[in-house]
Amino acid sequence: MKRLRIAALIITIASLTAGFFFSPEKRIDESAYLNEVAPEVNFGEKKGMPPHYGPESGITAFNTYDIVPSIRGYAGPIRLLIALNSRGDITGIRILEHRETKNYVQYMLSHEYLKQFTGKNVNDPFEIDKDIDAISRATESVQALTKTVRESSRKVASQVYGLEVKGPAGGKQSGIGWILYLLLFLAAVIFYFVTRKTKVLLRSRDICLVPGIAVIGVYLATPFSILHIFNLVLLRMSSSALWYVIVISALISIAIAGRFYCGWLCPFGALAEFIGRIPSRKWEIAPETDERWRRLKYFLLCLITAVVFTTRHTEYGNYETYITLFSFHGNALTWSLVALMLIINVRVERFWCRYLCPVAAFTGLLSRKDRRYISRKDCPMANKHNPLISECIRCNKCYIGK
Amino acid sequence: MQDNKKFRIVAILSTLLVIFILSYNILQEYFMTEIGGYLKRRIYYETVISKKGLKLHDARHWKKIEE
Repeated sequence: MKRLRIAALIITIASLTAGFFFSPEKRIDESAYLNEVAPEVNFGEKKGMPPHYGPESGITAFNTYDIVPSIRGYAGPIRLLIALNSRGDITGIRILEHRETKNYVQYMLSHEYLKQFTGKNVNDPFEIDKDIDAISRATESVQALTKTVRESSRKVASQVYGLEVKGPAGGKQSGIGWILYLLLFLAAVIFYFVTRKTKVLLRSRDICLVPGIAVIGVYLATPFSILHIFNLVLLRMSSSALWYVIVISALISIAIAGRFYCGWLCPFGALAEFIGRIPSRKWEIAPETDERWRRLKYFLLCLITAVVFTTRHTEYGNYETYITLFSFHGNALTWSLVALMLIINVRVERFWCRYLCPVAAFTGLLSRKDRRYISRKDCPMANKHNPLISECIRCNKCYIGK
Repeated sequence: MQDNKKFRIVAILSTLLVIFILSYNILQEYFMTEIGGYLKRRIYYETVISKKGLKLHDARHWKKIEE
């Protein structure tokens, strides 16, 4: 494990350095897209404060990142090019750049969705579910997009055209998702420590896993993913409270209890485990074969780390089954993997978690040694006696105390 | 078939799937453009060029000469 940790660290540093030199963050030249948002208008150079093109023929165009750089989606700012007329109506809009996970925001990026902003006045409410369509599973990104459009166009209308604009919008703009996630996390932590004291409440893990599927998987559609860590390392922070709760709670839980997230909260792990409980004969895998294949997840983690940090494209490293499953979006290959990873649990317990999951590899690498987990016959990870702590999901069944 | 062998087959299959997914993530922009371009050319050939009694190869040859 020590060698693996060193190798992972070297790969991370080397690929970050390579990415710094070979794939620097490119600033998109928005002037190339001006005729898309304002056809037949010839703009001069960008000028003024806030920076904008025009006004020419009564139209001003601007890059929202110049106006409201602090508003961020789930993975950094969503940069838009907007055209605004002198009455404060939006006449054109285009997404210049974003880093959101494509599975979740496919519809948000479409022309059909964006055209609802065209024709809106800066003093319209811009409230999701009122005058802006919500997209389930992309709530945070849609909120960031709407806020970016609203705040930047109001600023430009006020400072460039001198129009009277409304202050910050009222209404509910941030969801309760982060509160739900936090409550679930705290409940899981409490049950985790209680089950270390008494074996009577071992079933309480199921009480956390079921809401894990319902809340983290189906309702919020934001399971902890390795892309969270990649975005964190690349400093592509979000302005979403949910993002911070997920990342901070995951990091704290790893520091305290290693793969606690896998055992108590992960919605895909929970599904896999419940399917694995269907009474059927499990395959008998030779210990050396099992051990050898468990290393595969570390190899895959190192591979995607190198690819993502070298290219600075987080979406290149996305093969996680829970993203496909809970975003309800994927291609034939990703859905095939999801299907296989669910069905195979009938024969091999938690196949995805044992052999392929990059989050399992990441949390496993950072797990601290704890010899009080000795494993037993009904281990949900099918661990042998005295397993490596990186393979233990802390269900506490085999915890022997002091 | 032995369990170990079945397990190996599934493990290799899933690894291949993961590798394909990662390759697709990286190559999709180029790959999709290429496929799109090929389909456009093919449709044009079927609807226009083939009616003139020319093969795709001949059409390419003629185009080269015209250029």
